[in-house]
Amino acid sequence: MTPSPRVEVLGGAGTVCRDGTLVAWFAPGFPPTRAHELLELARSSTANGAAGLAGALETSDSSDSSAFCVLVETDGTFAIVVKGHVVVSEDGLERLRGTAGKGLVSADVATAASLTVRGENDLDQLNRPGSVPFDLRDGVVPGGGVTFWAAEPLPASAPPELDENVVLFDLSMPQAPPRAPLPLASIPASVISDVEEPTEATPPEPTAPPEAPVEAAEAVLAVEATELAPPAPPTPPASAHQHLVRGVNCARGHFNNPRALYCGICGLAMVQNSVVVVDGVRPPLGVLLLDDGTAYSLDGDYVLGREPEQAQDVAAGLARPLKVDDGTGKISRVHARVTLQEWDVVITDLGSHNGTRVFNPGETSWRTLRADESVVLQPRGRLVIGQSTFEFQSIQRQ
Amino acid sequence: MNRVADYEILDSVSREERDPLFTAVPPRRLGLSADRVLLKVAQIELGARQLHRAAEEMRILAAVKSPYLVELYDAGQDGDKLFYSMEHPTLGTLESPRQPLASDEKLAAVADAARGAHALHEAGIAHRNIRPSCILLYASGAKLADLGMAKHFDAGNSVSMMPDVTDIEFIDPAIITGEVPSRASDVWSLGATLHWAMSGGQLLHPGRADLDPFAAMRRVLTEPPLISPDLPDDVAAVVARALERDPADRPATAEELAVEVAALIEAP
Repeated sequence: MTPSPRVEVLGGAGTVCRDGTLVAWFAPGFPPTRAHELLELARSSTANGAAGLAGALETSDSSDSSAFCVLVETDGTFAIVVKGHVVVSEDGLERLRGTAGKGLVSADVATAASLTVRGENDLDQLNRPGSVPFDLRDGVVPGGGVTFWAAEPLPASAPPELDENVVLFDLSMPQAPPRAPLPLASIPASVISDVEEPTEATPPEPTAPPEAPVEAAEAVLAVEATELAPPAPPTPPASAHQHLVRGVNCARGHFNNPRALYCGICGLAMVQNSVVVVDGVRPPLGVLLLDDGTAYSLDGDYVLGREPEQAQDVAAGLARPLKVDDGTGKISRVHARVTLQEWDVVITDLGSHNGTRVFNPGETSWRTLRADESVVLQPRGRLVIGQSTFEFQSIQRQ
Repeated sequence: MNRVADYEILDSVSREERDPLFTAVPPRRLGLSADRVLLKVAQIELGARQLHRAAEEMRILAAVKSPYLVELYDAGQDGDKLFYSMEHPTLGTLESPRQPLASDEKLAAVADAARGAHALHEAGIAHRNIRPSCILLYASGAKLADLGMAKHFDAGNSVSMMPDVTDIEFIDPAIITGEVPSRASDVWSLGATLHWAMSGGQLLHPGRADLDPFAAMRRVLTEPPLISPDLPDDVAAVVARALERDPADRPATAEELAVEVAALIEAP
């Protein structure tokens, strides 16, 4: 017995058919006689690959305009033919899309962890019905599409069944082109810290809205993009989605806060060049260190609270959520915001129930922020919400 | 935890509490002759897109062939855990070797790991998390394992220095503040690993373990590392160059560092 993919029927309108290695989906209202004809043609086709299958199906009358998708699986490779408003996605990413005209679109897809066929009109429905977690082995059932889950080679005896939560990655075949080697030269940090969303390229005013966000996934993408990028010229940063600020270069060309006494990269004293103010990409400002020892890099804005993901700015991608729950009940769901403005770390209370307390070096007492009140947190300054304490640690020597 | 996906977990290999490494029994579907694998389990929340990224990263990693990189057998997601399995290290790890290592064996292991890092860099990948526990020891030499995948997917570039005080010992301070991992940051980690191995586990910021987290992190971020006076001068010089604050002053590639480290091994 050779392993075959598991075929999971998705909710929605339409019809799903499976006959061994042949699987098809037809749009709602697709004429049954025509469906049977297509299935028969696919079954009797001896041609290899998707092009062969498309050829076999083309020979029949294709004057109707209803959408369909026919797949034939051979040793883990799918020959796929689609027509009309159908989208085929591989491991969640779109791979093939039918055209609205009469023509057929075809492709061969080697084994993916999952392959999903769905009517295009179903894609945008937020509350579309879920899938039916059974394996359709044979037959015809209603359904808005199908997902194939790759089969694993069958073990010799009594296999421990993989839980349905388990998804295996196919390691055999990189689907992305090989990457370029990492850049050799060490590029000044101000140029490679490209992890921000597109934003206005103009230098912000001091009162400008908080600059753009780094959502986790975006950061990942940006990091990878950086890995792919050839070494960038040190100046000027041309990309529109880097956050530009006014600063000064050290003798070795590292971009710094104009107020810095020493370079944050190489530690050189900032004397010779510190009179020339230039635009540059702001490097991370340091870390916000929580008293449990976790350090959060200050390369973007944060919302602090028990449920910071509820904050509008987090939902809008303007700030990352930093969840703090010390169990005291004194931290609000959305408590405070940490905003990077130019070279400053600004703390704003977001209308918390118990307030946000800030203590800056050189001051004699704690300051309690009221709703929407802001204060600049100095290096080594402390921020308290509930009973959790943060300290801002700058990479700059003080 | 005694199972992840269809792996049976036997015991923990690393001392790290977060995203640990385990010895596990491989499922028969892999068709391996080995009865043990090394299993990495990372607790992360993955959306569809991050999952795709993780799979892609694993595929690229599996495609990088080098005698200095551990072979990846299998990878996947089990609920909220990302897992991947690798060759089991027959002689232990640089952190916990089966038998005490001579100086030359430690140097050879770090040199091999540096060559493995170089192979990754040439394939466009930074390791991000080189440390003694991910340098695996075999009779044939050492191999680098365990990319810092989990950090890759963490929100906010957070780094924890608790509860294991050695956690941040091997991370370039610039990475803690949010710089992008690079050849230079991996070279820094290799230098810190070399220092740790050759000094018998001394910290680059002595006394850090006794400080409160704020003071300890402040010291790591702002004070230059202090190389142990117990290191021979030639080893200390190689370590110092790898730990230079300005990346431009470090060896340009991990391969270059490998050559420097290998040259420290005494001729027989």
